[in-house]
Amino acid sequence: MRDGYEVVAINYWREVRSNFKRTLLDFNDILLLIHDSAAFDDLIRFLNILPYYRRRTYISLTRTFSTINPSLKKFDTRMYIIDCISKSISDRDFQIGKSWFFEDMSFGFSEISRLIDKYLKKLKPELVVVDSISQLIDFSVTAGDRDFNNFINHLRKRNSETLCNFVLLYDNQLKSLRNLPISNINLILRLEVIKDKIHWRE
Amino acid sequence: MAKIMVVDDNKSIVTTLDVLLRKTGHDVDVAYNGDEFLDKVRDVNPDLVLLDIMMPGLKTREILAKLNDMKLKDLKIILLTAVRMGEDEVKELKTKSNIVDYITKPYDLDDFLARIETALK
Repeated sequence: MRDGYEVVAINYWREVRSNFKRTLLDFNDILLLIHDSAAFDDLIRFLNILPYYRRRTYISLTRTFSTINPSLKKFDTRMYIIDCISKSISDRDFQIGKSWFFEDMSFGFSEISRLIDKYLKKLKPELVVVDSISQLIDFSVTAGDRDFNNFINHLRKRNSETLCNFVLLYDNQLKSLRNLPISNINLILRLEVIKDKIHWRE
Repeated sequence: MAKIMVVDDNKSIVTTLDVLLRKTGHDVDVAYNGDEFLDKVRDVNPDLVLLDIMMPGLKTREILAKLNDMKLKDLKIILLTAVRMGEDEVKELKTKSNIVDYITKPYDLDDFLARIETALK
């Protein structure tokens, strides 16, 4: 077909609105969260719905600490923050804090696996959030090459050893979701943020 | 017609921008990492560089510092990125080099091309 569209994939989505909290309570290993929002506030709202996680670690491959921190304060949310961006763009002397750390950017699944292992040992988190794996894989091209499947297997192994759960974000703004890795991940949710104009009343 | 250099480790983005910019009448050269860019930039002598902020190898701040060392501080650069930075961080980058714009992915193509033409004026 020239200059037109053709169907390249069909994804089936199950609506879990009615038992959403139950779904999250039952979640126990890896959650792939597809989203189309760049706003950190929306992500915080979602993470705050997740139950019982006291020690949460957020690995940022997309936002600097200075853009994250205002939202943490706004929502009074505590998380360990691993900022993998700031060291690339600034030569300031980054002082690590009680709850934030600065690392070099991870450019592949083996690098991010090593980073996760480092902070699993150091912080012993109950939940690790990776924002986002769309920096590492493109689901419009592949459903998961060997590296991605090895990464998932690695996280599953760590989950069985430490009971830590993992939330992997995937930003769908950039690429279509032609190939979802349905065979290797049990829980895939989609976060949809609906925005509309505010009609002010006089 | 201007000479534009596209620097990004993502080959599909480089190809897309290469085709798009050639269609709009520009001459395009490409590099896939900071080292390759620095090796080529003096010979290519571009009017504008589209520089991805996150690439393996040299960090952005290192690339900008090396451009400074090469006395190419006035080279016009547009940063391309999926990264969200604070205003202070963008300001800090701008003090080190001639960054004329900062475009976040995904691109709106019309807006993208308009900003390139503005940068080239």
